[in-house]
Amino acid sequence: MSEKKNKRLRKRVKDIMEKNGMNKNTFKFRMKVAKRVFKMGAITVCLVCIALPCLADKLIVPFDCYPKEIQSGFAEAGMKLDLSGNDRTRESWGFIVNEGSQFVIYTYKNATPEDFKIIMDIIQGSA
Amino acid sequence: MKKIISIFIVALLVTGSAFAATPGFRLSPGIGENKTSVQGGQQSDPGKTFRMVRYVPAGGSGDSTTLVTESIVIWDLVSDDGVTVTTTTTSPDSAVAGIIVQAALSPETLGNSAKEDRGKRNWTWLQTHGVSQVRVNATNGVVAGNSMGTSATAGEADIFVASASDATKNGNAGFFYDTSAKALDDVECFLMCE
Repeated sequence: MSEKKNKRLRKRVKDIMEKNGMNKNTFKFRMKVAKRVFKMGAITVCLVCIALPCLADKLIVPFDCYPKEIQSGFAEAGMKLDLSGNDRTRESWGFIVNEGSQFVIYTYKNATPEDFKIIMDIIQGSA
Repeated sequence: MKKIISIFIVALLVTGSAFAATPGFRLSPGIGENKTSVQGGQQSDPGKTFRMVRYVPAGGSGDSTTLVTESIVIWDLVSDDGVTVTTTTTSPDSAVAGIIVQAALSPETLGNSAKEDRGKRNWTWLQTHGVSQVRVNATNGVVAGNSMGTSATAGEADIFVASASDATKNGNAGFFYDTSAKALDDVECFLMCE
């Protein structure tokens, strides 16, 4: 940084300190806190970005099925099951792939024990 | 301050590029690479694979006990259908199938086929791949990184040591993530049965 720029920056800092009635130590402390908060925010954003796509599960069911019937079963339980991954919307829970003698449900996030119970009830109910 | 902003921008750019490097992933999560990696790199919580399976007590006997969650099970060699699991007292059983993640009730009628049992109460969820939890047997403790297999106690896991002389005792189900004393539940492990 050039001497000229440095001088201008110091003047600006001094102005801000005077305007807010801060002494040198208070200003340093506030800057330190701001830095730390910004750092924590940046780390959180990065971790969320990395973790979000890592929560998909695969559920294999050894029966033939009528995907639309399974879909309406899910709808009754308040879960949106797509017939293709390309139909995904923000409300989607997962999508179904019909593989003839079995079908697979891919979830968009980790399946919970409650989800397992609901799916079991839907599948057993359609037997 | 400048340094932090630069790191933040670089991190965002890297994450953004990673999404772009796997086109379609966000539309079809879980397909293909979900098991080991996404975004072209390692993931913190790998996808898990579950199978809906039928439970019958060992040997198809009149045992009517419910199989608790976190029990390690094998494919049933009596049913021979690829959807029926049962417990074993062979350590480590080669037919190891995975870990039960929802309590399994015993069948209403013993001796039924899977087709006959469809819609009945003895169906449950078996995890075959990914991070899981298991019950450790009462004989040996385990160390993180040890291979995992079935134990001499039904539903409980033990360290897997391959047998050079008995082909029925070579079932490696994955490995332990946690070090644990004997007879403990909720021991973290990684399943590799699929």
